[in-house]
Amino acid sequence: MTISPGQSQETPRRGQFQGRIAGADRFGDKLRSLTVALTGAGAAAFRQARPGQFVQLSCRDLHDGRCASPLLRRPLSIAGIHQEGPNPAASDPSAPTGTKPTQRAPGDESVWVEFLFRVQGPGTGWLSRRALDEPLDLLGPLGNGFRLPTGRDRRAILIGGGVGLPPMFFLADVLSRAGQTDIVAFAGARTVSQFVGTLCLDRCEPASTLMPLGLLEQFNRCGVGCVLATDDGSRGFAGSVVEAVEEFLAGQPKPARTDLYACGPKGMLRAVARLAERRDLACQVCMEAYMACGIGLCQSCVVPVRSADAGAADAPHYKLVCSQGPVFDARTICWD
Amino acid sequence: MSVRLGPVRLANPVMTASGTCGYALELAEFVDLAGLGGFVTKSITLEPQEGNPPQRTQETPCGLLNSIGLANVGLDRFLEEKVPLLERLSIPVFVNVAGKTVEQYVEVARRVSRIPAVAGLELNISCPNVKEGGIAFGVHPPMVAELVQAVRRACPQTVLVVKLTPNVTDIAETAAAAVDAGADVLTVANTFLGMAIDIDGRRPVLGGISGGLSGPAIKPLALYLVHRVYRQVARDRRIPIIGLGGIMSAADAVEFMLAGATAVGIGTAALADPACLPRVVEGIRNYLLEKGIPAAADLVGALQL
Ligand SMILES: Cc1cc2nc3c(=O)[nH]c(=O)nc-3n(C[C@H](O)[C@H](O)[C@H](O)COP(=O)(O)OP(=O)(O)OC[C@H]3O[C@@H](n4cnc5c(N)ncnc54)[C@H](O)[C@@H]3O)c2cc1C
Ligand SMILES: Cc1cc2nc3c(=O)[nH]c(=O)nc-3n(C[C@H](O)[C@H](O)[C@H](O)COP(=O)(O)O)c2cc1C
Ligand code: FES
Repeated sequence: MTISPGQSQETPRRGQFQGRIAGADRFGDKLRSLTVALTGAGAAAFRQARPGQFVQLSCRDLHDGRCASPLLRRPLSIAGIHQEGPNPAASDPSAPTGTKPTQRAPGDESVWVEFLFRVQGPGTGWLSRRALDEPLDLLGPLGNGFRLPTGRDRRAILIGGGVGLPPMFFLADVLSRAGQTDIVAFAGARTVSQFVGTLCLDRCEPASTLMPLGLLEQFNRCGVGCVLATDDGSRGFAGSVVEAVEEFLAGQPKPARTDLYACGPKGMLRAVARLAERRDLACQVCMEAYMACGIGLCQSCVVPVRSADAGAADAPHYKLVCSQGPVFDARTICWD
Repeated sequence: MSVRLGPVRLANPVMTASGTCGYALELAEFVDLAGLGGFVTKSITLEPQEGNPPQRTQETPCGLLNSIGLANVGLDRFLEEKVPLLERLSIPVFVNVAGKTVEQYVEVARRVSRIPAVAGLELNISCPNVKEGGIAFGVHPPMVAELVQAVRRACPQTVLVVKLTPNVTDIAETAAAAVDAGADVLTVANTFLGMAIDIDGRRPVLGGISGGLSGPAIKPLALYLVHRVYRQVARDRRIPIIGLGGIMSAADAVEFMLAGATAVGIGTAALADPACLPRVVEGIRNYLLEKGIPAAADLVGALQL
């Protein structure tokens, strides 16, 4: 069975929408979260959004023809879709403490879309300077998203590295709402201050670095435990997140069916794909590529693929990450 | 608001630019294309082309470098899959044609020109001529003449738009060669050659090594080329110009029209913001109203010197 988060099984509608910033937070090392409120057609489109989908955010004033920088939109993954707004007290220091989350007024069909990002350059820098209530122009939801097989005897392993972590939060939320109980998440970062999520480290000190615990708030809230891995060993498993997954799996009885879902830098995804192949596990990877349009107009964002049952005659060809991806069956990607 | 490109009437002067708006279907989800003056497809070649290795684009200050390598589905799939959708568009459609040899251009042009829904052909002459060692068709006036003549002979009834390359010493010469060989309309211009280097890896950023620069960074350059082609070639011979290069706003579009463009194309700006297409149409309409100018066509070449 394959489920989709909304009511409809059809491809979600998408479009260009104006949202309003309902939450803006900073955490960790140059990390930010933004929550964007959408109403009307935008809310309807995003209610159907699937984990793995992304948006293209404009990072300049589109109505000023002389303002051309940064010219292109910036892609960000959807980290969560919420039917309730964020708690304003968390975002706005001037708000009275104890304010309730923004409640839906009767007839209000708003949807709140959450993003988590690292400030890298002009685009994410501009986004990091936005204040509450400012408008944001976005295209979305874009791309295909993960296929979500569910079932009693299935285990889902979610692997997010670097800025590839946010889509895993959305995935954990949707899988757990769909009734899947066996979900384990793995989060990787260079060092402890760089996890693109909210750490709750004071909560518990794990007996083993490979024990999934409530260490990331975004996984916690949907009841999913996670294993942290840092390259420098500053917290959790010391080494790459894929090594952590490998060691974890080695110490576990194999359930009837394990699905790997991964998003992160290409080298990490390649290692996940190899691991999946060795252990004969289903594996979907969410790829990054340099994008100009994000909607299939320009042919920028190609990745070399071949069909999954790799016959020798099957020559590699390009697919568009923005519209034929970003999620691919790991076996179809030409990794070298 | 209407303007004429030869026999083709556009409801307003704003068109899409080739290669930045796909085959219309992709963009139709985001903007109502019926409000535009015309649509220009991605370049079509005889055989499908996979295109260049990534990275294929790179943002630069106020610009965009691309080396897509004319990735396209090829003529057969274009006719089969894309044309039925283009036929449903209510605005004039121009099919952009590219090739490696004169024969390839002629073959694509002949078959595309038979489609009733196609208002005209736009020849992308910035492509390398493999028989001449890869030098672009568009840089040598005699090569421009040979190519345009051959297509003209094969499609005598078709509206023929020739898209000039800006990478020449004097664009007036290639413009004149195209018009003498039978071009009905000139598009000015394509992207400017450029590159970007990754200083950490000491490698070109683009998989194709060099690429074409578009976007607002090239606007003053393209505007001058329109001015020059209009004054030197197009005005006296009554050849309409489609002006493009870096147009982001109605003000930019009006500049191109004052310099001599009858219609304008929007490429990179539409990639970044599809809504900019209808916004430019609206903005031109407002400009005409504000200034009390009765018709968009009155702007064409109205620059006071
Ligand atoms: C589908 C997708 C989803 C993403 N999701 C997230 C996310 O949830 N959180 C997050 O922090 N980051 C995410 N990213 C990466 C994010 O888009 C880049 O960090 C951002 O574009 C950088 O822009 P900048 O102007 O701040 O920095 P720049 O100085 O422009 O670039 C910094 C780096 O980002 C990369 N980059 C720049 N522009 C683009 C572009 N147009 N397309 C792709 N990569 C680019 C470049 O490789 C560059 O090295 C995602 C990327 C993709 C393709
Ligand atoms: C991503 C991209 C792809 C393009 N592909 C084509 C093409 O296939 N054929 C063509 O004639 N011009 C192509 N162009 C050039 C544009 O049609 C246009 O001439 C140029 O980009 C300048 O206009 P702009 O600054 O409004 O983008 C392409 C431009 C871009 C940015
Ligand atoms: S980014 Fe333009 S086609 Fe994918």
